[in-house]
Order: sequence, then C-alpha cells, then structure tokens
Amino acid sequence: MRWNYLAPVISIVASLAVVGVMLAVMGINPLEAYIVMFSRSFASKFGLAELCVKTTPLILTGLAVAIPLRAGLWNIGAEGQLYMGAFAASVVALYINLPEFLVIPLMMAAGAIFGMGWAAIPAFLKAKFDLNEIISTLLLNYVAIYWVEYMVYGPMRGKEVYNFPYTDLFPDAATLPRFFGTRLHLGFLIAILIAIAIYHILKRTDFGFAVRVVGANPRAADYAGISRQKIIFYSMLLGGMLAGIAGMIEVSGIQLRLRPAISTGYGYAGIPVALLASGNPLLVILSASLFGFLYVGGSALQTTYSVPVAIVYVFQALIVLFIIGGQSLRRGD
Amino acid sequence: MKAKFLVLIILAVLAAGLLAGCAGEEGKQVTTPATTPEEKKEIKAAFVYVSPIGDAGWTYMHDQGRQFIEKKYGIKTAYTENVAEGGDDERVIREYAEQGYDVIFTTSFGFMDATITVAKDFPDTIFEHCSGYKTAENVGTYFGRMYQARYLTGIVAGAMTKTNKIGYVAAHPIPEVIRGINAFALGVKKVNPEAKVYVVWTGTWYDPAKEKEAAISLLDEGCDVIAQHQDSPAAQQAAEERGAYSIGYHSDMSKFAPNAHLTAAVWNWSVIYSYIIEQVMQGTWKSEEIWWGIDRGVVGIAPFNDAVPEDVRKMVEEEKEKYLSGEVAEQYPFVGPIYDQQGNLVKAEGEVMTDEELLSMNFFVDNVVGEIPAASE
Repeated sequence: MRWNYLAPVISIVASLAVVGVMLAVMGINPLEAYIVMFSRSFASKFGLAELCVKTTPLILTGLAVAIPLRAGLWNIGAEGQLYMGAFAASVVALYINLPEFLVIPLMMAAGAIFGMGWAAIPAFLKAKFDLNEIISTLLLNYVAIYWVEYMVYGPMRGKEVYNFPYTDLFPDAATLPRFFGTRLHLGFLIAILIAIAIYHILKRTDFGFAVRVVGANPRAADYAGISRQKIIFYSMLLGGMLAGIAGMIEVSGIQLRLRPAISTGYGYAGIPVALLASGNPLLVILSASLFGFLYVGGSALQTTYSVPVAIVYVFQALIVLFIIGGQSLRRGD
Repeated sequence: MKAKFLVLIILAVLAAGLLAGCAGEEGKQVTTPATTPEEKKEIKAAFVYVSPIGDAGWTYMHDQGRQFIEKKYGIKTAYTENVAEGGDDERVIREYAEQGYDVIFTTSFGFMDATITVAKDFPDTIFEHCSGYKTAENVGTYFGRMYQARYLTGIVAGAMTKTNKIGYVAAHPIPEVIRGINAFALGVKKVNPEAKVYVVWTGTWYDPAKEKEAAISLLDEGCDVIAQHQDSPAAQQAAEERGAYSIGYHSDMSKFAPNAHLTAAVWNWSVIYSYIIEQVMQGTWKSEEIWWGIDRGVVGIAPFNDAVPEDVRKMVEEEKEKYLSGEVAEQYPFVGPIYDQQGNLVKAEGEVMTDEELLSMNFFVDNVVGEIPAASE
C-alpha cells in the first residue's frame, strides 16, 4: 500500500534530477529553474489560475482514460471525444436560440452526448466483436479532429474572422463565468465535482463494483454473473462523456470559439494522468495538476530562459517516462 | 481514504494560495505607478512566436529580426516559441509583462485578442502585434506590404514559364495570402498575359509533407514554376527534384533548391524592429499602425538564380525602382484595370485600391485558377 504512493514520488524526484543535469549542461542553474517553475505556477494569482485552467481538461481526460482502465480497457480516444464534445457545444452556442440560462447546460449536455457517442463506436465494436479498442479509439481521433477542421474551414467559419479558420466568438451566455480577473473559470469546479462523483460511483455503486471486478479478474466477473460486454460498453461511454465535457469546457471557458487546434494534446496527456493516479478518480485530480504544472512551469522556463521549446518537451516526456518506469516498479511489488 | 485526505490537502493549498495571490496582487498594483522613471533605463524586449523558429519560415525571419536588434542596440531580448493561439498565448504574454519587459512583440494574427486583453492590465508596457487590426493606447500593429515583393517575383515566374502554367502552394485563404497570390498573378500577367497561376490550398502553415505533395500535384498538372506561401522549403525541393523552377517565400530558400530557386519574396523584420526599439528607447513611442513596403526595406526579393536572363532582371529592377522613387502608389500593382475570375471589372483604369480593400481582399484576379473556399452564410 505504502509503495503505491511512494512510487510516483520517486518517479518525479528522479526525473527532476535527470532534467536538472540537462539544464545544468545548458548553463542553467537547475535549482533556480525549479524555483522559477514553482513560483510562477503557485506564487501569483495568475499563475495559480493558469495552473487550474490547464488542470481542468486534464482531470476530465484523465478520468476518461481512468474509468475504462479500471475495467481493463485502453481509451486512447479521449482527444477525439474531446473534439466532438467541443464541436457539439459550439453548434449549440452559435446556432441555437435558447433562453440564456439554458445555453450552458445544453452545451454541456450536447458535449457529453457527442463525446459519449464517439466513444460508443469503439465500445460497441469491442463488446460485440472484440475489436481492439486501442486501435479503434486512436484512429477515431483523426476522424474527429479532421471533422472539426472541415467545419471551421467551411460551414462554421465565422463572418468576423477575416477568413481565418475560426468560428465567430460565442455569445456571452455561452461562455463560462471567469473569476478574480483571471482565466480561471467555472469549468475547474465542475471538473473537481465530477471527479469526486466518479470516485463515489466507482466505490459505492453496483456499476462501480462491476467495473472493478471486470478489470481485476474478467473470469471472476463471468462467474459472478456480471455481463462483461455491458461493463465494457458503459465504462467506455462514461469515459467518452467526460472527454466530451472537457471539450465543451475548453471552448466555452478558454477558447470562446471553435478553431482547429483547441487541444494541446489533452486527450493523450490523459493517459499518463490516469496511469499516475492508478485509475483512482481522486488521485486523478492530483496527477492532472502535476501535468498542469508541467505545462505552466514549462512555459515559465521558456519565458525566463528563452530555452528552445524542444527542451521543454524533452523535460515533459522524461517525466512521463519515469512515471511509466515507476509503474513497472510497482507491478514488481 | 488516504487518497481523499491528500486531495483535500491539495485543494486547501490551492484555495489558500489563490486567495493569498489575490490579496498580494492588489497590494502590488498600488505600487506599480511609482515605476515611471525619467532616467534612461535598460530596454528589454520579448517575442512570442506561434511556431518553432525552424530554419526558413515566418518565425525564423522574426527571430532574425530579434537577433539583429539584440546585437545592434545591446538590449536584452527573450522569446517563447510554439505558443498555442487561444490556449497559451495569454499566459505567455502576461508572464513577459509581469517580468517587466518594456516591449512585447506578438507575431501571429491569432494572438490579437490575447495581446489586447493583457495590454489592458499593463498600461505601462508597450505591445506590438503583427498583422492584426486591433490597437489600443499601448498596443501598436505592424506588418509589411509583402504583395509588392510578390508582384516582382511574379514577373520572374511569368518570364520563365514555358508551359504557361505556374503553381502556387498556399496555406490558408485569408486576405494576406490571397493578396499575395493576386499580386504575384498580376506580375505574371504583366510579362505573360497567356500564363495562369494554379492555386492549391494545403490548409496548414507548416507541414512539409503536405506542402511537397501539393507541389508535386501541381507539377503533374504541367506547372513548371512553383511559388508558395508556406513555412517550409518543401515545395522548393519538389521543384528541384523535378527539374522545374521555383519562387521562395519568407527567406532566401536557394540553399534548399540551388537549381530551381529563381528568387524569393523575403521579409526583413529588423527594419521595423529597429524603428520600434529606437522609439521606445527615446521615449517617443506611440501606438501606430505600421504597414511598410519595399521602399523601407521591410520586404524585398532574394538574389536571382543564374538562370534568370538579363532582360528579366532589368524589368524587375525597373518595376522595383517605381516603388523606391514613388512613381507608383504603395498599393501598386493593385491599380486598375483589375478583373476578377468571372471577368467583372473590380477597379477601373487608373483607380487605386484602398488599404481597406487590400486588407479584406477576398477574390482572385482573372489569371488565377483556383477557388477561395466560401465562408458560412
């Protein structure tokens, strides 16, 4: 049990040490660099708000990977589910006339349904034909991303965007409220609440129990009369739904319009986020904030030292690698 | 149980930090107006780039400008590359402002709203946004009249084509790109009324594989000169491999295609960056909408390939001289008669297009073959 919590800590410390050597080689004092990363992310109102902004989609995509993972499934498709959710939410925001108080709830519902629908395809193929979900979810990402590109280059392109591939800005009623004069928006709270809710669902409901049994021991699930197909299907759907909500929150809280590159790989980052948290929804909040910190701190490194962006990516990738290393360490336990 | 506890702690820390941060911030804002010293201070300039610097494209040329002013004025500069528009731009710009940079250059159209937003919170910091249209008391804009250089390179292409088919690999159908294509086509028309310019959209600023593919499809259609509005030299390399000619963009791309590369329409941002930095250093900076042309040297053309004959060079030089001497308007070659693809007269004989018309250009001139994807209704 103790090892479970120790392994990620060791991973992080080890990666900091290795990256520290790298920074030192480049003539940057690693200690100072880490202080910059921390102080920029935690010591100012805006840094902290940005940390939350970056953490928000990561919590949701982390959960989108974590829930199916608990049932023994790999959802590599959170990125695509996020895009489909963002697309559906944008359609509601731009083209449907609603009373103002209904706009956000309906956007969220549309995002959730489209994310879910997008996950339903690989879920169905897996449950019915045992088609490898890693491949189907991964490939559907491209379809979703190109679908959004097609829409913003064509039918959804805005009138006030000088022919750039953006939609027009959303009306105010379709944007999430922001706080403290920063970009911190309601989506952060929503993501935290969802994570807590998912924790309780997995822990206390029959569905959650079934998911855990299927993931831990499929044969035992069969003997217990749990329908594996059903659990596979629903856990994937639940994951897709959360990724779809992440997409809705990203366009409604940050981008305020639909455009081709709304995600900087949040869907893929959800995989290490879920792994680091070993699929525990509450720990997903923690590991998502760690990745959020890597984004914000990484850009602080750039603004402070003008290091090439490639160094920041190496840094982030090393930490992910160490985490995977830590995982295998834990498995050996 | 343990997990729950940990999360609670983290949330408590976050919340406490946020509150503390807010309180601290208010305290700080009271003290900032005090920092308006009369004595000459060290100038610091920051650059926010949309893509990695790379070796030939848009950001590369901006970074050349950054290095130039750093050396020339001995000032401190900083940059951040590959900043996502709409997602990360606001944070990066704000970080530079918070670190006390005196002037912050944001070098992509998509940074416009973030630049304006941050500028509101830092009235004492100067912001310069490239290629946009929104300004403020402390936000200026700058850009170059690249179409003038495009026009000159069009003359070269028109003179060198044998098949009368010239290919143009283009990124996005925005006014800047369309203006470049039209100016290029008008240059072609000037020397070769028979030739047509064939446009292929890639839908990306930087994707060497896609750019090359587009160039090859144009070469397959019989084009024998390839021009481009892209960040990589991939289209140049495609022309080189097929033994065709090419016209570069952004920088002198001859090293990527020594035989194919006839010339290129190039940027020289150091002209504008020097001007702005001098204004800032002297304390005379004010918000301007800079849109300079070949006469100021912001845009220009790269040295000719040996294959370009003397009479063509002379013709290009003569046309260039017209800009330098002021014989033609800055808007030249967008002077009537100009016809669109349907043959409608857009500008009558002798009429000059206005800057507003140039900035919102959304049609192709009559010797362009291709379509501008329509926006939604």
